[in-house]
Amino acid sequence: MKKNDIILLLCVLLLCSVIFVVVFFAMGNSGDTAVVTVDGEEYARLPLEEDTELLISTERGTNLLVIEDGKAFIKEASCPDKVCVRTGAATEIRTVVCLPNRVTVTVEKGE
Amino acid sequence: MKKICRAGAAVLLCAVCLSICSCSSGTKKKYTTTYFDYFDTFATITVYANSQKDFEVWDNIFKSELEKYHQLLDIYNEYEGVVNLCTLNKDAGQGAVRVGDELFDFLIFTKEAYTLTGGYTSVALGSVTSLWKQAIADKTPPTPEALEEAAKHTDISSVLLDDIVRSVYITDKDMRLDAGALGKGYVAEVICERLVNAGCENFLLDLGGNLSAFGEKPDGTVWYGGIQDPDGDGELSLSLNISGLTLSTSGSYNRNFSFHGLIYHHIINPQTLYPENTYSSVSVLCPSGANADALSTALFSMSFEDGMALANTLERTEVIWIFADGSIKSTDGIELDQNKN
Repeated sequence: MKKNDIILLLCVLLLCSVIFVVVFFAMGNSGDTAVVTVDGEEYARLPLEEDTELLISTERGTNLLVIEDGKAFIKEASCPDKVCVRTGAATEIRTVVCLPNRVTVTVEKGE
Repeated sequence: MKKICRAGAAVLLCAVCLSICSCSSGTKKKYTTTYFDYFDTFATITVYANSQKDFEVWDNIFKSELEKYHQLLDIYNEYEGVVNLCTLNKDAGQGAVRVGDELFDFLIFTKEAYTLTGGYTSVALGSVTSLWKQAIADKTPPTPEALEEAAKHTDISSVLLDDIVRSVYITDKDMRLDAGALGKGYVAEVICERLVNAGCENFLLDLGGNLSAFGEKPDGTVWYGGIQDPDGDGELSLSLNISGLTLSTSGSYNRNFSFHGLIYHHIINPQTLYPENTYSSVSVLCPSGANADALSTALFSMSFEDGMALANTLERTEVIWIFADGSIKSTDGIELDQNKN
């Protein structure tokens, strides 16, 4: 009986660690995502983990989205005011907006 | 011993359950929408909501109020069944016009804003601002003669408001109303009230750079608003706690043109009839979205000394001036060094 109790304990401990590992990695894998919309419609979703560039090209103009070191920002734009470039990196609460090209970039937290 | 082990196992099981629960308990998700069809700018709402359905209710309020006030404050187009600023401008000099409660209340506010800002933010400057809007489109400043002539029709006392029958009489037929200097902030404040009344506990609104925030994010942290670096290298000059407040920034980096080496932009000083280039931006942080917008417009045209004197007469109102040379000054409530990112 005493032996079985210890086995049960060990099983529970094992279950704990398995769940911990699964949860830990699941959260790690579904990291933050940059979400790009054009004129209100979703245009692209890109993980912030991977450094990349995306040329957002529409009939209104172009915006170059850069993902670097976990940050998403507009590096270049065809619009005259460059407000989107000045805004800097998008965060969960800071949406980067290019008004002339109707482009937005925002960040969604991983779950 | 057996009992102790069982108790231990139970505790561990509870711990496992709790750890699973805690992973899924942060059910509030971020929702955001941006509209491009109102006030010649963008309008973004960001909310943490329990469900898409909740968000849609608030998003609908946001959109419908934007649309309503966009129509009411439009000076170029008329809409069926709506008496708006365009109607009032057309009927200037022709007698009193009955208006709806929303437009009347807005016009009452514009008079208050005129007094608050010592005339630096005026809804009655339309004859002058329309020349500058054309100038920005043509990339050529208006002639001084045209500006002088237009300025004869900017006396706000020519706008008569009758609050018994809720009518507006513009006695000067050449006067033109223009809400550009203070409309967005007023609308932001109206929308904030509507959202709070509809049970929205936390949100961030961005109306073309006018940030209004309410409540806290689900993790208990406050909303932060930033001020753009005038050098345009993408880093924010400042980051401020704006929960319960509006941060309105008037900047010369939007809508401008250069002509013979001089920069002209859209914020017109009613005293000189020209845009000023003392600052690259002036930001106002205060509880009233309407006042924040009206004040940031006014302070942009005022000297630093006059602006500081005005700010010091107002409660819970902080100002950040970013000068054309990049130097920054602020009212005492803003700690520049500590907030520097």
